[in-house]
Amino acid sequence: MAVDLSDAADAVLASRAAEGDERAFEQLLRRHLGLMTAYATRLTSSRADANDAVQEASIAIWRELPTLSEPAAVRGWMMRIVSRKSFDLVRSRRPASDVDELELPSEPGGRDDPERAVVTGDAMSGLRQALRRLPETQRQVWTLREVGGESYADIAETLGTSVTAVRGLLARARETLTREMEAWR
Amino acid sequence: MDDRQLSRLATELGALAAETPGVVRVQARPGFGTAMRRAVDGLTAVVGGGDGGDGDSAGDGGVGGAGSDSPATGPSAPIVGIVASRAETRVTLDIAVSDEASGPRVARDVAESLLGRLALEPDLLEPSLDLRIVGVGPH
Amino acid sequence: MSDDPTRSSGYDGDESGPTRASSDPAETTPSTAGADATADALAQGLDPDRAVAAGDAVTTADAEAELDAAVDAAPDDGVSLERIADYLDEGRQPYDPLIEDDPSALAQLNALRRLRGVSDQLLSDEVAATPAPAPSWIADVMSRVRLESRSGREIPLTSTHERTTLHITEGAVRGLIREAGDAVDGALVISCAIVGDVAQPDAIVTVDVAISALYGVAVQPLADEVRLAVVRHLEQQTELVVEGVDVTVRDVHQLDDEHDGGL
Repeated sequence: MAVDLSDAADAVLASRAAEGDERAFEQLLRRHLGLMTAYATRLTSSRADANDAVQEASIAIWRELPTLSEPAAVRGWMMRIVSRKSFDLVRSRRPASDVDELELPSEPGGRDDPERAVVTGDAMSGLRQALRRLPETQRQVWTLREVGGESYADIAETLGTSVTAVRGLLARARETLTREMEAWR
Repeated sequence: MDDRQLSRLATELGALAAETPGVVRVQARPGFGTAMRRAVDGLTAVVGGGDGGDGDSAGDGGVGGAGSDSPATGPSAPIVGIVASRAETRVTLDIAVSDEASGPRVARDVAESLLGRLALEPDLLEPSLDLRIVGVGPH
Repeated sequence: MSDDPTRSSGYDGDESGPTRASSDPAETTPSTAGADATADALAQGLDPDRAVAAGDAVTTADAEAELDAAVDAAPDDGVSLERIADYLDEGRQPYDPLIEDDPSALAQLNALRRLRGVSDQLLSDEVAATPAPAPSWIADVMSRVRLESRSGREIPLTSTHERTTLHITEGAVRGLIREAGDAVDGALVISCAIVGDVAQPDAIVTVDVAISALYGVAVQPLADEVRLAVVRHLEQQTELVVEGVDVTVRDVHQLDDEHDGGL
């Protein structure tokens, strides 16, 4: 009877998987799949795309696990691969990926209408709406930083821009979101 | 021997391997088909490997052996690879062995069994085997 | 599932995520100069005057400096939001009076804290709302994974026929060592390695095994039991000449505990 890995620490699962233990890899995947998928969904704005990105990320994770020097850091490391694959996917499916086009926020009066958000009266819902109203690149930078915990350099590389631009986008996103969320108090 | 006969032989060899006591699984050597097809000179025929080198999926790439619970699935290409040339006949396969058996002994038993079968084919010259144990365990 | 899936980012010195970059401008990658710098700055919504100044900067370094200054500048000459955010990331250590003692900066810090609180909740919500994957989805991933098995080096076995080669893969041997160690009550194998030139039939090798021990179990007898189990299994399944098996207890675990989750 094979040992029960469901209680094993991330670091143990990552070490074993890096050495070829497929069961450990599957356990690691299942444990973090929800978070990875939610992250990918935020980044791709599509559940279907998110599933594809996470599947590609899973294979890449398996392949690259032997390169992970700190097994305890595996969760953040996996998230980085998920964001990489999410952006690869978005780029491949939107060939006319002109940054200016992506800056358009959602239309007023639609589901994201702030008036409707007031009616729901829920801070979480308010944040959801506020995030949707952000220009896409700002939302992406916010997500990469606040959800993925990624470094400025990694974010810059993913978006194909400079660290300074990343900091600027993040500052704008934070300003907008703190201002809008304070209105909910 | 034509390709079809060779293919049938490969399938038969796979079954023989799977029946050997202690063998839990027989599976395709990854990349066999592609590697062999690139390899070359004086090749009379290359079959098997079951790695989907033809672009089709070879089922789950494994045949359940004696004592294993999984039924033998029917892969579209035989699992055992055979490279037949003017000079020799090389058979390639990967197996998983039960943790209750002795790996080295099982490997030798499979070799005996397959080489014995190959010796019965007058058209095939200098048969030899390239076998790897790729897994040990109950599954 | 981890009990706190939101802690994926490096809040409060958490080690589980990648290190957050410092605000050190030296880390910035070279940006394009001139008009591109201006466009960059405008796209970020920075002050147009500063954006033009960035564009007018003679060198790339100057442009960077202008943009950095723009990002760092707070409306009232107070502390920038970025600095406050980084301070929050560091767990508000060491204590920074410029932020903590300044009502407006403190207010921004608290606003950011609240924002993060809601953001964490929202993420938890999204994770909980994510449907479990179809069994076929995981099966697809695993079957692709199996195609890339880590077999490692090929370790020869004695063959009774000329030109017939028999091997066991290093991957199979590692799997074997893991199973041997796992089977010992209270032990869980973390990693293992075969040290030595395994390709030479009579070469001497040593085996290193790192395990996690169940809390409360006597460590030395456990390590000995694992060593014996590994030696036995290697004798049965390989022809390796094993000079020694080194078992290290690298970690301790508990059953029915909350997932460590890497935290």
